[in-house]
Amino acid sequence: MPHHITNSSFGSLPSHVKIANNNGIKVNTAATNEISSMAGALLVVGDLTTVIGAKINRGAVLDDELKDMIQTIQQKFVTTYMDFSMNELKSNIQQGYLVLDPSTNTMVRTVTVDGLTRTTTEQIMTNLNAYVQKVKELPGNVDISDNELEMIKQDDAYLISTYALRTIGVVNRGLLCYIENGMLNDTIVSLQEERQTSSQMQSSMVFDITATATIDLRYLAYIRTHGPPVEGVFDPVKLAEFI
Amino acid sequence: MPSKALLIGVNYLMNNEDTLKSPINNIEILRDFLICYSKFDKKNVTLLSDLGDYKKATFMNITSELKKLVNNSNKNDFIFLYFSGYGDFLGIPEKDSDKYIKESMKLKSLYKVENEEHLFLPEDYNMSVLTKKYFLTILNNCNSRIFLFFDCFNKKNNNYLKYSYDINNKTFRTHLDKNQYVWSNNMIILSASNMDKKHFNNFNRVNIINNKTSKFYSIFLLDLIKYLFNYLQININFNTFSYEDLYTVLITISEDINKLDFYSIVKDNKENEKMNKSCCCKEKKLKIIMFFTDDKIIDLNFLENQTDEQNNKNNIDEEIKIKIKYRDKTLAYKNINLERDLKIIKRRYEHLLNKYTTFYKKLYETNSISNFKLLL
Repeated sequence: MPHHITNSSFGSLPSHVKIANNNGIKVNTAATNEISSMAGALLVVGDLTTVIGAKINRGAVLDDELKDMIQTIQQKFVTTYMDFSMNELKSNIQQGYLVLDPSTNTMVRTVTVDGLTRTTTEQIMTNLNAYVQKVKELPGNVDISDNELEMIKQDDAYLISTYALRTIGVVNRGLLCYIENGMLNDTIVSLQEERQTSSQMQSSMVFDITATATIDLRYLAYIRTHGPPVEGVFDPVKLAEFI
Repeated sequence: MPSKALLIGVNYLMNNEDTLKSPINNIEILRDFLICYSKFDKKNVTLLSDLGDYKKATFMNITSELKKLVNNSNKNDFIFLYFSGYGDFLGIPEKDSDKYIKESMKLKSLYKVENEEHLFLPEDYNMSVLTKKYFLTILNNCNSRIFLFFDCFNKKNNNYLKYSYDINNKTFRTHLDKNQYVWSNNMIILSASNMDKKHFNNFNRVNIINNKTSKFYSIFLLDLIKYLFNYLQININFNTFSYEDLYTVLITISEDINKLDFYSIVKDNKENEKMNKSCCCKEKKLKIIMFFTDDKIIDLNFLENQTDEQNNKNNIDEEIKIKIKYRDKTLAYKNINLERDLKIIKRRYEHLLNKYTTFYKKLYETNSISNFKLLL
């Protein structure tokens, strides 16, 4: 059964904005709710998504370009993240994912932008940014520059694209945590191996220890005046002079 | 005229093997006793310990607090110092144990009974320890009267001051040793050495002073507080409790603690006591000695400062003066009466003498004297 998503899933928006997009997009993926609450920033259109109409508040159109981009985010980032296919997600983000080029019918991994070869993650982000800019400049919208809140009121397509961008960031952070966790696990394993090896050795071990030592200045003053303590024990009468 | 106290209890948490259980509880119960039942003000009682929310009982902190006490005190003050922890050494490890062998290899070790100069081991005993000379240097400049109380585990009661009461042997000693440190101030040292860990870490479900339950205390301290508490119930204050009385109390405590248990042989209490008295070869679990800088201090009152003592003395002098005055007045009155009586008698005598002279003259003039002589 499809869920009806309102803008309340987008995060902390003003109450009047919440009502504005009641007739926006209906999504029936179960993961959407979780992702929305987790990322606080996403409207996902997945495989099972049914887009009922393309009517966006105040004249903006949810065009094919945006639809494609959101679909890609869903497929390449959110689904892999939710399924915990972290290696796939890692590959998608770090090396770029394969895109089927309909013109040549071949799978490509990188895209050339402005003469530079970029990963597709960067590509989709660039595209989304360009889209945001485009929506901003639509004649139906009033350009109020950097006032994002006012812009949200003006156009829901802008809102969707902005949160789609943020989703990539959130997923990226999740991946980083995963990678770091993996690295820590590797360290633990290597230390355990090292320990096993060293305990098997009969010879004495040598460690490099980094430590911060603090000493009371009064002990230093004692050593300066009376020299180092005999047998390591400070003369109480002489030491008391410094207190 | 405030009474100030510094209570130090070290549990030695840094060293698992040598940790003691009672010192922190000892200083807390003593603090409660001093504040609630004696004339000590809460702000004048300082506690140092390696446990609880107190300042650490390190060498530096102890010295700093002692110096502060000495510098801020005068003749009108009384200073009470209490040390609970290890005395001279950390104890002797079990024979043939690894530790015993390891420590016996060392030239000097705190596990050997050889540190006669040591009086107390602070929390950081590896850095420095409190010695006789240390106490002499710091406390000798003090004008106040000082009561130094060592309630320690493993302590040799060496000669600290010139005069001493040996509680275990019930003797009074005067040490004539020339090397004896010379103390200028009024000082009383009570040194209790527990040789049995069970006595020093004695488990008590309840105590007489505060509401703390199921704690470990030094059995000697607890007994002493119990006696003082009972004394105060009858006498309100220590104005009539001298150090000599304290000596009597200490004897009772010592006999009680050092009592041997013959109940397995004899069930009767009297028989048990008899056997205890006749047993001379037993080793004392608790050794108590009370030292004084001056033998006159013995007659002074417990926890009394020099001003209190002076005031008492002045009061007595005043009373004597009044009595003398009264006596003098009485004698003078008596004297006047006697003088008056004497005058009357003198006059009578003169009168009689006159009469006699007149009579004699008359007789002589009438030549009847010869007849009269004949008649006689």
